[in-house]
Amino acid sequence: MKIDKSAYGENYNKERNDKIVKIASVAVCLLLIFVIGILAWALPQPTYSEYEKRDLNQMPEFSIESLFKGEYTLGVELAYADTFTFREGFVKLQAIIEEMRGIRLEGAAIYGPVPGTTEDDIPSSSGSSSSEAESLPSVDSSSDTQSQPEDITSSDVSSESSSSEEQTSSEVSSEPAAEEEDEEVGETVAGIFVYKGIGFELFGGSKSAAEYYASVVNKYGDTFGGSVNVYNMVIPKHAEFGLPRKYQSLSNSEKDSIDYIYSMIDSDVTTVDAYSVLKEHSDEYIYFNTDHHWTGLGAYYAYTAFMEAAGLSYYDYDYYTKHTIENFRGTLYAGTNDQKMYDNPDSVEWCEFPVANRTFQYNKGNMASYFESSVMHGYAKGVNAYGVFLGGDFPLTVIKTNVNNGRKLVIIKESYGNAPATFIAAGFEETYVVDERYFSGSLVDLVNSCGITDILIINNCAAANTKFHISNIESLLTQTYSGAVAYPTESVNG
Amino acid sequence: MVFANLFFLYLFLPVNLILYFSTKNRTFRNAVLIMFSLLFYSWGEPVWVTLLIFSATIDYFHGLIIEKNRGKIGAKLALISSLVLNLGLLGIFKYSGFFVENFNFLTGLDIPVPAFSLPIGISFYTFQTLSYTIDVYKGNVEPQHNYMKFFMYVSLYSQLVAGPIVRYADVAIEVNDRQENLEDIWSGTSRFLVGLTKKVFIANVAGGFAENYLTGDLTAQSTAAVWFGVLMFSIQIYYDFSGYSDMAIGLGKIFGFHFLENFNYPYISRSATEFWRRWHMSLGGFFRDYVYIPLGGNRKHQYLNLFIVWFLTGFWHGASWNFIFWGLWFGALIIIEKLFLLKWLKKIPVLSNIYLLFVAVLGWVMFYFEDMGKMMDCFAVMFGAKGTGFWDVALEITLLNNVFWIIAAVAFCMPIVPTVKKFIAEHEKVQMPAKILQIPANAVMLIVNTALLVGMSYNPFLYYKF
Repeated sequence: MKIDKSAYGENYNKERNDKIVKIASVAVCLLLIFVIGILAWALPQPTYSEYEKRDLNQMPEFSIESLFKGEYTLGVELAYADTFTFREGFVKLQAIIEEMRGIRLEGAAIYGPVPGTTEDDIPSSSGSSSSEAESLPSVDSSSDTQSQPEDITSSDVSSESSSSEEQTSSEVSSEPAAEEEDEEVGETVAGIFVYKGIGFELFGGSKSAAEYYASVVNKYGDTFGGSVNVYNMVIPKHAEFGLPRKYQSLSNSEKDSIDYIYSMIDSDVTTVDAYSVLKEHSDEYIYFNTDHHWTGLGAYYAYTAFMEAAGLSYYDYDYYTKHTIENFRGTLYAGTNDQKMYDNPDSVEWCEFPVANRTFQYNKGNMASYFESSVMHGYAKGVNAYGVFLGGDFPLTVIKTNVNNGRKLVIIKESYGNAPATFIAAGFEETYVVDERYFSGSLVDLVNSCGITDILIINNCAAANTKFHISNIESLLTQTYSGAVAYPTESVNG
Repeated sequence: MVFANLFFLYLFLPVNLILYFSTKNRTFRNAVLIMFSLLFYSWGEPVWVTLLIFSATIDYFHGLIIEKNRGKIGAKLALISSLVLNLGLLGIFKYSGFFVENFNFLTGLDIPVPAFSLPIGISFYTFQTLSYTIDVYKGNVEPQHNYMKFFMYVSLYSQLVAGPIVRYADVAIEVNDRQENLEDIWSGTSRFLVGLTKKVFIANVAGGFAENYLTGDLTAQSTAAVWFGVLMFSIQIYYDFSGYSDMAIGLGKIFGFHFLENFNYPYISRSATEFWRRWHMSLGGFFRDYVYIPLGGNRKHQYLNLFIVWFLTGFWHGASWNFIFWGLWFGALIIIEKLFLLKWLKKIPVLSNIYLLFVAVLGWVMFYFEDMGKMMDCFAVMFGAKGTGFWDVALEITLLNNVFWIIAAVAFCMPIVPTVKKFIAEHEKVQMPAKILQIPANAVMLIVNTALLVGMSYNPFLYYKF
């Protein structure tokens, strides 16, 4: 009897404990889901991610049409994920989990695809400019966080620009700017390789895209060749000089691509050899470790090459008054969250603009008005520190100086051009820095109205191999702005 | 909507659970399930949810008509009507583009190609309702008189969009009266989290590799890199699909349903014949019971029957020739095995495993590339016919960067979990510690998957294509 009873008691206890553990097991999961789920409602929701340099998806506006198209519900999901509770913490945790998947010898890691020679078909070089939609290479077929729109117009760089972004588009003319979804603004990035805390964008390249690029540059020669000096500069990126010998095969040769492009450029365009001078100084700090741009020093060397080609004198680097922004972790870090890169932050050295000037900038989609700005934006910081140069990518920046040499320059560029522009502009009376992606005016009109004497088309090697950029450069020649364009009439001395 | 999605996990599911378990009223609970199923489905398919309702409604009536006219011509007509309507839906929405394209190609005509976007899950739910009507006709199951209950069976969101193909006969009792209990909720929760982990931690990552290594110009890749890509796709499709089935089975358990297993470690098979007894079992069973056996099975013209079944199996996976080739590839293997190979395979343990993995992986190449040119490129590089070199340093880094993950992904293709479970069941002393250990394990799975899902703005489920 006694034994039976205790056995029964034991069984009873066991069953009870079993029940408790199971309830606890379910309860823990439910609790986590409920707490996180409720916090997702209750906590204030961010609208911009400094980290990813993009506006976060917000709750879409409801309409029957968007509901039936499935856009509304998709928008809700995207917004929900983008504004999720503790999002940044979870993103960091994801990066840690990713690092734990394996071993990283000397910090060597690959993010995203590795370049094969992706020979994508493009419209023949004379093809119409409007065909860019189908010829766009997938800009970042890599996963999730890799996309890095280079738009720097965050609150700390220019409050005006970010506020005006909402009211854009209605007046934009037809062509490419209208269809820039933010992921298309980047270049064809083949993948990122990290070694000892330094990030390298791998170069894929495309022969057909290079041919397309050369043909577009030649169009500038055809259009302006007689009256205006046209220059072209293609800039090699970090991988070209920085990859350790063992890993050089990861990236295709940018020199080959640049040489190929230059070989196809007509004689009425002057090609500027930035490659040699950068190679000569490749052991200096001319590229960032954690950002895909070059440093001010790298841009300075390219500036000297350009000034020589343009027949102008240039300043000695020692001449400038310099400042430094510390703790810069840029796009390559933001795209990968690589811990080794985090531990290897950059510093951004910038030079004060050496001559008297007045500088004006335009907001995206609006060519009818401009605002006074400055060449250097010393308050840029954090992931946006490269924005110290021109404040980031504005559709048009006009720099007027007290120089008197009769030379007026247009620079057609992507973000790589921002840094050299801040050196080059000091050698011209007026410099019009046109962002090939965002400028919505007519380039021909700009050249004619402002008495332009020189045009510099400057692109990094990846951009010069990316059809999105090339077709944008091509469109500048044909696109028109729907309204009247206001060019600054103010002069420096009065 | 998909399961591996923050919106589902942290909003849809908790609200669904709260409402469902807020009362014991069976009708109310069923109504909650229907409501959330419709919301779940129309979330991604706001227009073609009408097809789902249509398909469910007509088969509800087909069942009733068959019952009333049992033995008479009316029953047969209802069955035919069900076949025509369900297969007709599939034909129009899934295959019309394919048929017209091929017709144009053969005749040189230029008939405009219809471009329906494939309604989510249509291949799954039409098969479910079809199986119901056939089973009622054959007298295998009583028809459901309660429309709401029948609609709940068809629309139940756990298995609606990606299977398993749950036959009415298997859940008829639970549709009418089921008992949710702690044991099921507990094991269902773990099962769901395991499925989520398979999908998010393994399949999504493998899918990223497959995409990186199998898109673009394959002839610029090394042989090893393309093999890696193909193996990663093999990992992806198994974990993606079986993970989804796990989540469906787990969710079903929480709501008191017990679905049959859909995967049983297919990659440990030793023949193609065995592979298909372990892979997507609910589909294989469907074709066996509703096509192969009615055609005569192994009693008459067996090889023709096998050909038809495997043609259809391939075609079911997508309206494209590559899926048909993939199905016929397995059909051919199974016929060869039936003729003589199976006897040999049974005698050679390790070699037969290698054989199966090899032919299955080759099959996935056919499955992956809808573009025949790319498929041929892929085969050519895999077998060194393009002279692209065997190895490359990028692959070396990728392998090193993911070595632990790769080991885990490969290891869990093998029945480790059942082995451990068996061990626990046989050793009373470890049972309680194992259950306690499961508490933090569940929490870790949830947090890790959440972290991986955050920021991933787009996360399409692979089997949506079908």
